[in-house]
Amino acid sequence: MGWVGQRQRATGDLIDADVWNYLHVDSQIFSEYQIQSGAFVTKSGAQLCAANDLVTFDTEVLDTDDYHESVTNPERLTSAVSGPVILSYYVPTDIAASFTLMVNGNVFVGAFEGTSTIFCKTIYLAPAAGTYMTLRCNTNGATVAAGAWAAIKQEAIGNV
Amino acid sequence: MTWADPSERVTGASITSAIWNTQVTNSRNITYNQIQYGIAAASENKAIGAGGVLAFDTDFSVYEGYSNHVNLDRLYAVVTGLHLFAATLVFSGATALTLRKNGSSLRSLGSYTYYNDTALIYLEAGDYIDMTCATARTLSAGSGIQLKLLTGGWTDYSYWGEV
Repeated sequence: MGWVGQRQRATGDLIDADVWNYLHVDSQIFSEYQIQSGAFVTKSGAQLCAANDLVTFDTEVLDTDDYHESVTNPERLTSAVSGPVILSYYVPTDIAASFTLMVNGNVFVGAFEGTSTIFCKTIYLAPAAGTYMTLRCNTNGATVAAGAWAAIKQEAIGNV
Repeated sequence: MTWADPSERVTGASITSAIWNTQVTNSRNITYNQIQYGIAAASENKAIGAGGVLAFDTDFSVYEGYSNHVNLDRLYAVVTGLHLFAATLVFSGATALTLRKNGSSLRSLGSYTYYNDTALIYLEAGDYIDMTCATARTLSAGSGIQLKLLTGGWTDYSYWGEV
């Protein structure tokens, strides 16, 4: 008995290995990446910044695909695959400060909107696999509070 | 006969009810979790006292669990994971806003008359969020907050077993 269209199965049809692997398993892997991939990292202590210091994060509440590591480059969120991500920062400071998003060490978005004691931004960008994002503090003497966080959520990566 | 890692099926292997229920049914449920969201909104102007919780009276949630239908000021996380939080709020004057989790401050947002922003926040299942304003203000009708699950809800498939 033939299959109805690409995905629908008629009564009495068998689900053979090809169909299962193509339709279910591929879909599952795709869904897993779509659903699961992301990171949420925080700071356990305050950080006194000199001008152009990068904000570091040392606690991984969630990190599904090695977006972050706390030893060598604790300031980075590194995209696991190519494709759009939602990137979100919440960084309170003791004095008004400005911040710049860096991508692979280069300025991506200029000092966002002047200075504030609460930097909270959520943006959408499409990095290539291996691209790393950091947040640079532009204000000398600003202390980033413990509890600041950064988050990244992988969005569409294309179908398998 | 074993299943190939992680879940591929070799020719001749049966799809047992356990495999079906674990993989297909759970995937379906996970998808349901992912496409749902919660919204709490104000249907009329609300007077909020200094330090008071923003009062919402309408539940537009598209999932049973984002609202408990009693505390309409709150939105609950149904599944542990990263969530997209969004708020569109209009006040009678500027006031400092705080996003709270389980009644404690999660994030100070700054002072606004009009607030329209998003953030990624991490919540565990059962956590609830609400918001407070520092100064007595009127919250305009149509204001609201939204919560949407982004990650999580994915089952750790421990069953790949013999069939």
